[in-house]
Amino acid sequence: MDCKVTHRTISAYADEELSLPQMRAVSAHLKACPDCQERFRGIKTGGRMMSHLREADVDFALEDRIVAYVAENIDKQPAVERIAAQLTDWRVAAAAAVFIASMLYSAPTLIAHTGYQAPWARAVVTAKQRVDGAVLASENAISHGAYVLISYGEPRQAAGR
Amino acid sequence: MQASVTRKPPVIASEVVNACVEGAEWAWREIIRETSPAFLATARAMLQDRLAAEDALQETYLKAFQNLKHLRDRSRLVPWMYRILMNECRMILRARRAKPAVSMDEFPLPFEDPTDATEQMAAQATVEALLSALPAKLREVFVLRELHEMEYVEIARALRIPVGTVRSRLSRAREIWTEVGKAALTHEPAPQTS
Repeated sequence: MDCKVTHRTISAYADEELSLPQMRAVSAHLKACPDCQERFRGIKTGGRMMSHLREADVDFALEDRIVAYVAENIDKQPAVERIAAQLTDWRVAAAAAVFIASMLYSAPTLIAHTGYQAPWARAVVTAKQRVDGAVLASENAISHGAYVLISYGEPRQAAGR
Repeated sequence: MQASVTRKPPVIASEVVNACVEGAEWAWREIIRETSPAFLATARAMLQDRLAAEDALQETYLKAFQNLKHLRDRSRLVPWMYRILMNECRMILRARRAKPAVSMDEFPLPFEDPTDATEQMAAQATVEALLSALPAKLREVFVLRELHEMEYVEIARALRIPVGTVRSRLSRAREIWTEVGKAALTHEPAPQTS
C-alpha cells in the first residue's frame, strides 16, 4: 500500500471502519511512513479536541421552556400534514371528476346496448346531448367569426396601404 | 441540573415512546432529559451559538413529538430525531448564510490540553472556530462521529446518505480540520474550504 491509497483510507482506519485485510495493510504502511503517521496523529488530535465540547449542561429552565413550547404548538397542524390533507382533497375531487366523465362517456353506450333506461342514464344522455349541442354551436360561432375576420381583414389592410 | 454528553446516542424505552405518542408530558420530559445534552452539544457544534442551538432543539422536539405517530420503527427514535435536528441546524445555517469568513485571530492558543477553566473555555472557543471552518455537510458528519462516536452506518441512517458518502465526507472534514488547525497554530491564511 502506498501513501496515496493510505490517505484515502486513513480516516476510516482511525475509526476501525475498514475490513481486516485493509486494516492490516494500512497499519503496515503506517509503521514505515512518518508522513502518514503525522496525518494519523492529526486525525486523532482532532477527535481529542472535540472532547472539549462533550460537556453540555442542560438546566431545568431549558427543559421547561421546551415543554412549554411543545405544549403550546403540538396541536397546530404541521405543514407536511396540511399539504397531505390538501392533496387528499384534490385526490377526492380528481376521482369524482373521473367518475362523472366515465358516466358521461358510457351512459349512451349503456342505453344503446342494453336498453337500460334508468332516470340517471337518461338524464346523463340529455345532458350530454345539450353539451354536444353547445359545443357544436360554439364551434360554428368560432368558424363564422374566423370567416368574418378573414373576409373583411384583407381589404382593410389593402386600403390602409 | 448538570448532565454530560454520553458517548453513544441514548436509547429510549418503548413505553416512554408510546406514552409520548399519547401526548403524556412526563414522557416528553423523559425524552428531553435523555437526549437534550447530546442534542444541545451537537447543535452548538453545528451552529456555534447557544441561543440558536436552543431554538433548534425546541423545533426538533416539537416536530418529533408531532410526527412520532408516523414513525414506523420506534426503536430508531434517536437517529430519526438526529435527522430532524440536523435539518433544523441546516435551516438556521441557511438563514445566516451571509456569515463572515473565519479569521485566524479567532483561534485562542494553545488549545490541545487545557488545565484550568480559562484554558478550557479557550479550547472550546478554538474547537467552535475550527468547526465553523468546515462546510455544513462535512461538519454534520464530523460532529456525529467525533462528538458521539456514532458508527458510519448510524450516521448514514441519521442523515439519509450512503455509507460511502459518510466515509468520504469524514475524510475530507478531517483533512480540512488538520489544515486549518495547523494554519491556526502558525497564523497562516486558512485554506479555502467552500
